[in-house]
Amino acid sequence: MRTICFHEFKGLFKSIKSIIIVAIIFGVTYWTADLMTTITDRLDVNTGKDGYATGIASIVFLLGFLFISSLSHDVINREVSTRTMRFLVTKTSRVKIIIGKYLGIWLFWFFCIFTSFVLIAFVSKNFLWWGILECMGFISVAIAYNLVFSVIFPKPAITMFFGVVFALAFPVLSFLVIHSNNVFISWFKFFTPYYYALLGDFYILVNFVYAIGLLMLGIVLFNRRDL
Amino acid sequence: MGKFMVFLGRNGAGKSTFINIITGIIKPTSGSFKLLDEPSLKKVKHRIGVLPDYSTFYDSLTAIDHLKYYAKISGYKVSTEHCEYILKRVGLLEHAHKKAGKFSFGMKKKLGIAQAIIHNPDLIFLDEPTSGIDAESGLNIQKLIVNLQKEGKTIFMTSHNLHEVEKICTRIAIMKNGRILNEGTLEELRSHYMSSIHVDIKHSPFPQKELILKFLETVGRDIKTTENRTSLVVDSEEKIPLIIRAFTKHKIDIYRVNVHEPSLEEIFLNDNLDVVAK
Repeated sequence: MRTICFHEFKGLFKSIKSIIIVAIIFGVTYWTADLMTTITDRLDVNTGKDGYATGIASIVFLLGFLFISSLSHDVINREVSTRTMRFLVTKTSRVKIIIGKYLGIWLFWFFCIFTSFVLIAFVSKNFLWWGILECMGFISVAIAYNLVFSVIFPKPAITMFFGVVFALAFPVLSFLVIHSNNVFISWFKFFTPYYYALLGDFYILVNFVYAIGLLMLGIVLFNRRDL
Repeated sequence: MGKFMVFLGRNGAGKSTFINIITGIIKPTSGSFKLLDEPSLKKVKHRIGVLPDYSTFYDSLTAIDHLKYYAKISGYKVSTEHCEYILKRVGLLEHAHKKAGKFSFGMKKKLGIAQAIIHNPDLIFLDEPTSGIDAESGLNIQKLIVNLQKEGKTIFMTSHNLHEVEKICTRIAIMKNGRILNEGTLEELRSHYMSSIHVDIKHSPFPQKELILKFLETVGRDIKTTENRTSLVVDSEEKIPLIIRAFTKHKIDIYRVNVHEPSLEEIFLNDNLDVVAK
């Protein structure tokens, strides 16, 4: 499991797409932090220490699904279609493969988010642990969704298309149902990670449980697949 | 010395499916099996090596990277020297540091065999290990397989190359429609499937041709004779000494006896396979 995890982690860093996405996140983080400093200095307003994390949180919540989908939409089906998965399943259990791959992607995003928050800390003079937890809770769910899609759809081209559509539609639908008064659709808010992220406090931890649930679904589905 | 079993069968007979189920690539719909005396595949995965029917690798990793990666997944940490030793055994040492993306089909096959044996498994499954490989490499792979068996490994292999099977394997299982029709050594299969042995005898001229012909009609069929040559078809090996004794009794000198035994190809193409399947 650890070997698969680090293989996936290293593989993500080698990709050009990853480098571009990491550059965007770092760029936005730095720009937001700089902007916040200027605003608070000039207007003499207090946005609070968490204001520095607004930029990175926004980019994670709005584009997180899209970023993760573009990098990891084919985490499982790529190996199934190229048949490299056949070597893996004859050497270790399917559960370890799924968890290893999930943790590899998770570690990559943790590194990106952690480094972004370190950059923020230089400006805010405060390390925002809670902000990291909030972002990682949300990202955990997004990674798990991508992994489940990659198990369900056999072809990488399909997951790429579906992943992009889902990444664009899901945030919009989520915010609609969260702010809807319609009883028939508002129940859907419990199935969106945005709801728990917006509730804040310890509710953000629900997203980790949500991710574990999705991961278990992925394991069950993958266990039934012929490779 | 380990055992060496080869699965033979036409396309779609179920050879690869069998290996894929046993090794966990395909999920069985029903039934159960034991591997290395264990009812669970999980417990013995580190003791088996598998070359699936189609081998592809990560384009960006070298041959050595692959071997280290797969050995580590199996729970073993291997040195670069050990990887090079394994690559030498499969004839890929000169490409050890080349990325797999630049490998030919045959080279990928060799790397597939290398990853199957990198962790020194007790049981090895090889799905058509020599298909798509040039003749010289094919011979080297055959030698490697024989050596692995001598080292005590048990090997299950599928192949379409009947000459290769005839040359190196100790036991053969013939498959059709997902079932093993028969299993045994080549000799056992020969005696099971073939009831016609061609005997050709070079001898001195017959003193009493009618008497000899009368006898030959009782032991064989399709008898053809010339002055110093007789050929016939018998249904079992036991008839051959009877013929030789009869010739000697009639003072006919025997210069040469040729017995044509059926090749594996003839057994494999024999219609009897269908009869047994029913």
